[in-house]
Amino acid sequence: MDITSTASKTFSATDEVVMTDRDLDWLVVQKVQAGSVGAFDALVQKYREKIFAVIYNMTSNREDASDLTQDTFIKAFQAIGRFRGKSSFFTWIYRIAINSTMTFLKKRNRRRYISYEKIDEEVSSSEIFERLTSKTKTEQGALIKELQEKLNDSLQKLSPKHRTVVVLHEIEGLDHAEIAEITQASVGTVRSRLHYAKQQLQSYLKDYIS
Amino acid sequence: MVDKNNETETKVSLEELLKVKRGERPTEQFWGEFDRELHRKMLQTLVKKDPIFIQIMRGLSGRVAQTGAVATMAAICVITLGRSLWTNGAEQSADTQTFAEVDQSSLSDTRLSKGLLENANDLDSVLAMADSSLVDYEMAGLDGTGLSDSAGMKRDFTMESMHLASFDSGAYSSDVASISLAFVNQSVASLVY
Repeated sequence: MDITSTASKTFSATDEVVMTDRDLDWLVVQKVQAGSVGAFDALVQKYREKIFAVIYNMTSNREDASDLTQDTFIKAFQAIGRFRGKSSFFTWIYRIAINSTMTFLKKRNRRRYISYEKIDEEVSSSEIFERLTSKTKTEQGALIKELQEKLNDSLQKLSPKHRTVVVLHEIEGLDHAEIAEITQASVGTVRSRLHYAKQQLQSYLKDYIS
Repeated sequence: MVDKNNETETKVSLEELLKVKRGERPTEQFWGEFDRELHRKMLQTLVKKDPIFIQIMRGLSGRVAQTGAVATMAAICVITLGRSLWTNGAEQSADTQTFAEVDQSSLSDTRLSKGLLENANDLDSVLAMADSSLVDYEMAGLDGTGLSDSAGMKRDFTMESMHLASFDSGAYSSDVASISLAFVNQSVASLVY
């Protein structure tokens, strides 16, 4: 984190060059490639929560998500010497994460062990829960738990490919082009998968959707 | 109207529901443990030796590559040599076959012209020339014994010699003559030296 922020300040202050996130990541990657193992920490700190969230929403298991996130960073660390910067580091590491998770899900097959993260208080006290409480006439604490289970269960009913698209777009907020690059599919395929997945989810979650 | 407003207020979309998932975040304590575990694994990666079978494979891979290169070169040599030998053999057998065909077709001509071969000594010289120039001359399947017997010739005369004698006797005679002359010249030359 320190390295990226330092690099950002140096370049913007002296050269007046506006550096994108991709450029900053590339600088750090080059440092790691030059032998600075510590520089890799900056990338871990920057992306660990995003990577964890994607994997967690794909697996619905916090322990598996933790292990897979660590595996993702280990794989990235081992392969960083071969990273040439053709795509952004962000795309590259997301691709590693998705591929690792897909392999894991294939091995796990139909066995599902659910272990949820606690929903953040900020979200649980948000307006959406107030609306849902008044709609379903359910006590808020019970509603949060019920909805969390229903959401995770519905996501797990989707195929891994459809789940990936929903997680990356609806939960992580990536655009279609970014998802297409990560999943190495066309934008049309991403849109089509997203459309189908949302139809499925709407039928699973119809009790909560007006 | 009141109900309608109430309905609008309670409307929840799928997108909004899915955003609830964003709230499922681990605690700071979790990230502390995560970092420690990750550093431990990274250190293991840095100092970890490859399994013994990978080390062996890596050691062998150089020798395997060398052996492979030598074997490939040897195979190329054998194939090239074998191919050239095979091609020569095929050409020779083709020659033999051509001669056999010619002999077979000229069999009737030979029968007609056998009366022309009166001198057995001429035939001997012609046969000797034919033997020296055509090493693999094969006459299998064209046994002219009966024919030569009936013509009053020696049994070791074969169809090829008869054929050559009947058509190219003049040429062979001149060759024999020139060869003899060459021998004479060589002997003269050796005497001069």
